[in-house]
Parts: sequence; C-alpha cells; structure tokens
Amino acid sequence: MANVTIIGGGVAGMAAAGVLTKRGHEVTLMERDSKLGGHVGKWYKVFPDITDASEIVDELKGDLNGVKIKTNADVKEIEKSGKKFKVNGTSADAVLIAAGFEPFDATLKEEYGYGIYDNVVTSLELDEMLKTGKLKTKDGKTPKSVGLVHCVGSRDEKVNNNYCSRVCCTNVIKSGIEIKEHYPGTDVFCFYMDVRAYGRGYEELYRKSQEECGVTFIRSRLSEANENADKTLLLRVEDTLAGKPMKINVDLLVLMVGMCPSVNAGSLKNSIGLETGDDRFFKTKNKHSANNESNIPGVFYAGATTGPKSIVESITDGRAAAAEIHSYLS
Amino acid sequence: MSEYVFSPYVIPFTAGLIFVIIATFYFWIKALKQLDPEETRKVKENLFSLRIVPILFSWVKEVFLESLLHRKIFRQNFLLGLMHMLIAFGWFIAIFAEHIRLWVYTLNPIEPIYFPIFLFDFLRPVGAESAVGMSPAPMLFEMTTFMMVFIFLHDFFMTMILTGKALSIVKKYKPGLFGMTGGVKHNQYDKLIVMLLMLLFIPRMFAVGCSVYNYGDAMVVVNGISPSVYAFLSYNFGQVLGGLGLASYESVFWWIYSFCIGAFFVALPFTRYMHIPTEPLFIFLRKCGVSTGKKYTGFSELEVLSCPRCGICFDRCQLNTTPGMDVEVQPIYMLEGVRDKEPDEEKVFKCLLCERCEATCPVDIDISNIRITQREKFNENKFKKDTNRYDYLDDAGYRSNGGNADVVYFAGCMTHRTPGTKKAMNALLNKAGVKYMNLDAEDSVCCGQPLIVDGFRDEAQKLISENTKRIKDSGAKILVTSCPVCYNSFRKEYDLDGVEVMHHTQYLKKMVDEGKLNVKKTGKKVVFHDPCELGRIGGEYEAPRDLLKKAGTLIEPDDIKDDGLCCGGSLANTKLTNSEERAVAGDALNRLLAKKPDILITACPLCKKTLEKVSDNKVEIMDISEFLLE
Repeated sequence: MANVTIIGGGVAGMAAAGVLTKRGHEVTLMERDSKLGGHVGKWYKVFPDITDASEIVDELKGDLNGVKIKTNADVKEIEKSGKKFKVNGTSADAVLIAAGFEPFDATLKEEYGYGIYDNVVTSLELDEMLKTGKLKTKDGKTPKSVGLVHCVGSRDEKVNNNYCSRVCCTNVIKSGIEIKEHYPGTDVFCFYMDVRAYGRGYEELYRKSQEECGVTFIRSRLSEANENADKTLLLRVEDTLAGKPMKINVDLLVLMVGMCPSVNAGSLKNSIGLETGDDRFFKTKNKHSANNESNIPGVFYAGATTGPKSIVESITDGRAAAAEIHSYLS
Repeated sequence: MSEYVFSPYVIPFTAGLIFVIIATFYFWIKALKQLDPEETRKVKENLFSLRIVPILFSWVKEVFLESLLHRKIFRQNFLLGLMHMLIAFGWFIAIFAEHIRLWVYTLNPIEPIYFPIFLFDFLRPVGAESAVGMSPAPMLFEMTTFMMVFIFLHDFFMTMILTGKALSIVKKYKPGLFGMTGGVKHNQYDKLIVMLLMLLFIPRMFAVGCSVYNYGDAMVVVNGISPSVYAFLSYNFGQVLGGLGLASYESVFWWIYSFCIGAFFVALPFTRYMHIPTEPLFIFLRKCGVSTGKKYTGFSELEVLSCPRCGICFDRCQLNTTPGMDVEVQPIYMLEGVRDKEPDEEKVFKCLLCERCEATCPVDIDISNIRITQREKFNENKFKKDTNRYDYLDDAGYRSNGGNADVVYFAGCMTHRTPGTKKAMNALLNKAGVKYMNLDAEDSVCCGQPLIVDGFRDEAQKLISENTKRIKDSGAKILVTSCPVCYNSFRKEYDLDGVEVMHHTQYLKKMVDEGKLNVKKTGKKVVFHDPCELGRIGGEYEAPRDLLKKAGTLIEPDDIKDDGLCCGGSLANTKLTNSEERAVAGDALNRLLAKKPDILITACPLCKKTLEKVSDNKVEIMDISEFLLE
C-alpha cells in the first residue's frame, strides 16, 4: 500500500482520488478551500446538457470513501527526499498536482471597465446571478440587453495570455440560452473572435442558441466600454467581418474571463524544480503519450493545472493520472 | 623671408587637404541646394539683416563650446568629455598656435597651406642651418621668448592630444569609466579612420622630435629656461630618438606623417568624421532658425552627416540597456543607413520615439523627426489607398453643444482604455465647478498622432480637421487632454486659433493654484513616472510634481525628467514584439520601484496600462487624477 497525496480537491483531484482509493492506495486529498468541488462546486448549470454542477460534484464525492480529506489546506510547496515526498507534513510515495486554475483578473483589461463601471461583471458573477435568479443591473432592473464578451484574458498577447481558455465560448452559448430562457425580453449580444464549440454536443448547443433562442453573435473585437449617464454601457467594437468600427449600447456587460495558472503554481514549481510552459501552466513530460507526468518521477498532473480544460476533460484527465500513478507505484 | 619653402613630402598632406575641402564644399552645396524654400528664405532673411550679428556670435560660441570643448559630453560623463575635449580642442589649438607662430614670424597672413603643419622642419632656429634637416633652405628664427613660449605651447597641446588618445585607448578596454557600455559596432571605414587618427600623431612626434634633436646646439637656454623644460616633449623625446640613432630619418618621419594625415583627409568624407566639416554649417543654419520638422530637407542631410556616431544614444536606448535586449536600431545605426541612402526598415520602425537619445545627443540632431520622415518614405505606395476608410467620420453623428463651454475635455483614445482616469477627471472637473464638455465621450476621433509617428502624416489630416472643427465649435478657450500623446498632437499639428492646450496635470495644477480644487496631504510615499510624451517631448516635468508634493510624499527614483524611462508601450512602435515590450516595461518598473514607493503614479494612459501589465500587483499604479481624487 502506497501513499498518494493529491493537491487540489476540484473535479480532477476528486476523480483521481476515487480511482486510486479503489485501487487500494492510501490517498490524502488536500483542498485549500473549506469544501471540496473547486470551481465546479460553486457553479450553477454546466454545458452541454445544462445540468446542475452540484450533481457532478456529488457524484465524484460518492467515490471518496476511505480518502483522507484535508480542507483548508493550502499547499505552496512539496519537499522531496529520495523517492519520498512530503506535502504539508504528510509523506507520500507519489504526488498528484491538480491545482486547477484561477479566473483571469478582469481589472487588467481596464478598457472594459470592470471595477470602474457599475454594470460590468465577469462570467462568474453572471453565473451567481443566474443561480440566485437575480439577473439585475446595479440599480435593480432586469437588463433589456446583455453583452457577452468572449476571450477576456484569453488569446490576448496584450495581457501575455496567448492561449485559448477553451470553455468560454461554450459557456457564452450556454449563458445566452439561460438568459433567453429566463428573460425572453432581454437581447443577448455575443462579441466573439471565433466560436470554438469543439466538444460533443457543443455545436448543437451553438445552433440551438441562435435558432431557438435568438442569441445574436457578432464577429468582432471589443475595443472599449464607456459608461453612459444612465449607467448603461456604450461599447465600441470593431466589426471584424465588415472591417468597420461600430457602436452598441447594452445594459449589462459580461466579461467571459479565461483561465490562468493557479496562484500556487509558481511556488510549487520552484519548490522541487518542476517545469512550466510559456503559458505558465505546468509542462507535461510529453504532450501526447505522457500527458500526466512531470519532469520529476513520482509527481503527476491532472486537470486544468496543465492548461485550460472543460469539466469532462478534467475528470477524464484525473482518472488517467490515477492510472499512471497506479502503474508507477506497482 | 621671400624664399619659397617646399619639400616634396608636403604633397600627400596638401592633396588630402584639397580633397577634403572640395568634398566639404560638395556636401555643403548639395545640402544647401536641397533646402526647403521656406528654409532658404529664413537663412537669407537672417543673412542680410542685422540679426546676423547675434547669430554669428552665438554660432561662434556654440562651435567653440560644443564642437571644440564638448560641453554636453562633459555633462554626460567627465572622462568622456575630457577625452573629446583634449583631442578636438587640443588639435585645433595646436594648429592655431602654429599659425600664430608663423604669422608673427613672417608677418604675412598668406602662406602655403601646408606651412604651419610642417613648421618644425621649415622654420629652424639660427645655428641649426647646417644640421641634418632635409629641407633645401630652412628659414631661420632667433630663439626669442616668443618662440620659446610657442614651442612650449606646441608641446603642451600635443600632450593634450596624446593624453586624449591615451584615454581613448583606456575607453576601449574600460568603457564603464566613461559611462558607456562599449557595445557599439562601427563599420570598417570608421574603424580605419580612428586608426589613422590614432596613428598620425605618433609619426608627428617622431618627426618633430628628430627636428628638434637636429637643431642641435641651436636649442639654446632662453631666459634661463633650458630646452628640456620649454620643449619638454619634443626636446626630450628627440634626445631619446637621437640616442637610438633615428634622427637622420627625420624626413622619413615627415613623409609618414604627411601620408597619414593625407590619408585621414581622403578617408574623412566616407566616415563618421565627416561631422567635423559639416557641423559648423549645420550649427549656423540652426542658429538661423532651421530645423528638421515635417520634411526631410537638405538641412536634415546635414544633420545626418553631422552624426559623429559617438554612441551616446546607443547607451541611452532602452532597447539596448534592458537586460536581455540586443536590438541595433539606435540613431547611430539608423542615421548611418539614412546617410548611405540605404535606410533599414527594422532600424527605422523599431523604436519607441521616447527621445531619451535626443535628450543627450551632443550634436542636438532632430532624431525623431528624421526617423518619422524615413517612415513616411517607407510607407509611400506601400499601402493600398482605402478611400472609404474615414467615411465613419461623416456619420459619427457629432452633436454640437452650442458653443457654450469654457473648457473642452478630450480624454483621448488611450484614456478610453483606462476609464478610471476619465472618470476621475470628470469628477475633479465637476468638483472644481468647471463649465466643460466631453469632446470625445461618444464619438471620439483620434487626434492623429499615432498615424503621424508611424509615418502617415497625410492620412492624419482628415482626423485633424474633424477634431479642429469640433474644438472650435465648442467655444472653449482651453482644451484639456489626459493623454500626453494627444497633448503634443494638439500643440504641434493643429491650428486652434488661440485655444490653449493643456495636459490634465497642468490644468489640475491651475485649478489647485486658483483654489478651485483642494488637495489633501496623505502620508503616501509616491513615485512619479515621467511619461516620455509629457516630459521630454511635451516639456512638462513640474506640474505633476507640484501636485504630488501637495498630495503626498514624493520620492524621486534615479531616472527622472530627461532621464525618465520609457514604459515600452509607445504608440510609435510597430515592430517591437510583445515580449520585448514587456521586457522594457519590467525593467523600467523595477528601476522605478527601487525606492519602494506605496504608489506609482503616472500621467499617461499608455504608461499606466503598460506598467500595470507587468506589475503582478507588486505596487499600486494610478493616474495622477485618480490619486488626487482619492
């Protein structure tokens, strides 16, 4: 029986823990928050089938019998001596880093007015609004129009994030459908560079949003948001199909923030000499055949810690990592 | 003395000198012919009026202070200035002193051009006529006090030059002592001529030394001063040469010397030393009010020729000094390409136009304007004319306010991208009770400057005329902008009929001075980052500092005002990659934060945004308006 410590109790970490404990390993799951579930645990509905995120978390929790769960355990470093590791005082034969991601800090795109204008929110806040059933502007009115901005902090050299965060497009589609279903009188405008609805069922969702729900997609780049006297927002965008500047007013602007590496990624990396890519996410040993292994034997990765992933990908990745760890230990 | 003094060895020198004079006139006339009619008019106007007197006076002054004494380089670094002064002034004054010695002796101002250069051979003291000297008939002089003093001066000035040369060798190996990095790469002609300049004083000292040795006993003690004192260099060095049996080769050394100096002259027009004969004309024209503005003219040509490639710009450029950066686009390289009529696109465009180089250029070349004219040249016919491009201006739907505003606030495109600044400015203007209007709140039109700095001045005209129309329509007497780029654009590219253009730092200071705005002193330690466009280009360093001293504790980092650092986010850059830009910004930020301020304050939306991107929340970064509002 070997000891495995998993850093991160999000969906990837939980999925891996479930598999490893069934394989008979002594698993310790460390979560920096007070409860398991990671980002998914806080969300409302998720694509492609618009189910409750809590259902996914509950299902994964069901597999954790026998797993030692440590919450409020923020892991900043790993110690290594010989083939053994120590994480927050717990010793382990193998470590799985499933530290996930941080949402992009939208204040870095000051031109979009987050934190400056009343009615600019992030996708996380939109999710919360939909969860509580209160899609409202700051002064308490239901917005007549909502703008959803793709790629905030993704595919943006200006903020040093060249990568695609992969899930935002489909999140926009899902959010547009939700808004239209709950607030049929509200217009939804999506400002996109490209729509990357790549997963199973995503494209169908994209079609549904337009054909059945009437969500408007505008191929464009938002240049800046301005606040009008009535606190609505005047958006200046470049219509990238027409190649012309255009203006549009919305009552509420939602910034679909991308994924950035975990705040702890840097210190974890430095503590035992792990490697990260140009995108600052952890670098796997081989992009094809060793996508869960690190440069240090015994340290593995799962989930969004090696780059943006959807929920299903994170769960699959967690289980794949568990299989790798099992082989490594036996 | 009526005899004509000549020796065949003067031919290389004389031929070289004639060549360089012809070349100089060729370049001068070519440049003068290419002057813009407006510039020619300015020069003529000054030339044929009484104004020429003060112009000539300040011309002589500048040539003396800058071309000979190198005052500006002294300010940069003492040793660097000393080296330049010793060589340039030493050489000039040595030649001048020899002329005086000759004129006083012959009382004839017109002597063969080579005469003073070889004076030690042609003019020998009484008693040395039978010496080994090879000249057919040396003129003879009595060793008077006057002659003794001038021989002393010759040796003194030669020592200056040789010390300068020695310093230049030290500089090659220890550039740090001279405040330089020593990374400049010179072309082969420049290397050759430096070598010639280095060499030509050595055969001269050998030749002069041999002559003085061959004077023999004619080098008498004068007023009790022995020749080993008054001719401390030539006499003593001559003794060494004589002791080695080299004195009989005197004429050989004169030949070598003449060849070296002749070769120097022949090479000169093809090298950076062309700045020596062009600079006086360049300075004169500038004194007449000519400068490179929007067009590349004959004057610009002179400016380019006047670049001595000293490399000071290279060491000031952040594309060179930022760790890990090694970009060879500095004026020293860019102007070389322009001079050779082969400007390099990368060198012309890869520049932030921060003007750190221009602020310390010892020759005061209008580097940025020349660069912009070169950009224009590259852009000619490069882009398809999109005639519909500015159609949006027609349906921008600008609504007049009826012309009743006192002040127009033009936030600027970049300030729209930092709305915190815009919001703070609106709040402050309201607080001060100013009757103002937002000129570009809804239908903003760019000031045109980004197009101009990227070499599209013509394209910018449509934007300029639209904004001019709007500004005049507002009825305001003051135009306030939050963007230093717009500030310079409005001042330099617009004709606003007396509307005063102010940057928001200046206007806020005015409001505070007039008591319309109150500023509370906070205990915050703040650092002010001088935006290039506001400081070096706009000339405003004090307004933001006055405000910050009232509102907090201002601490000054090492690089301020003229030495202020560029954030790297300049609109003038079209070639710098994002990672290079981040490297410049990161380095600038680290240097700004060296004294650990609580807040970093700037007054340019671009600087704010660029520095924020690399700050990793290490420090709070604010626009001055946001800070004052708090």
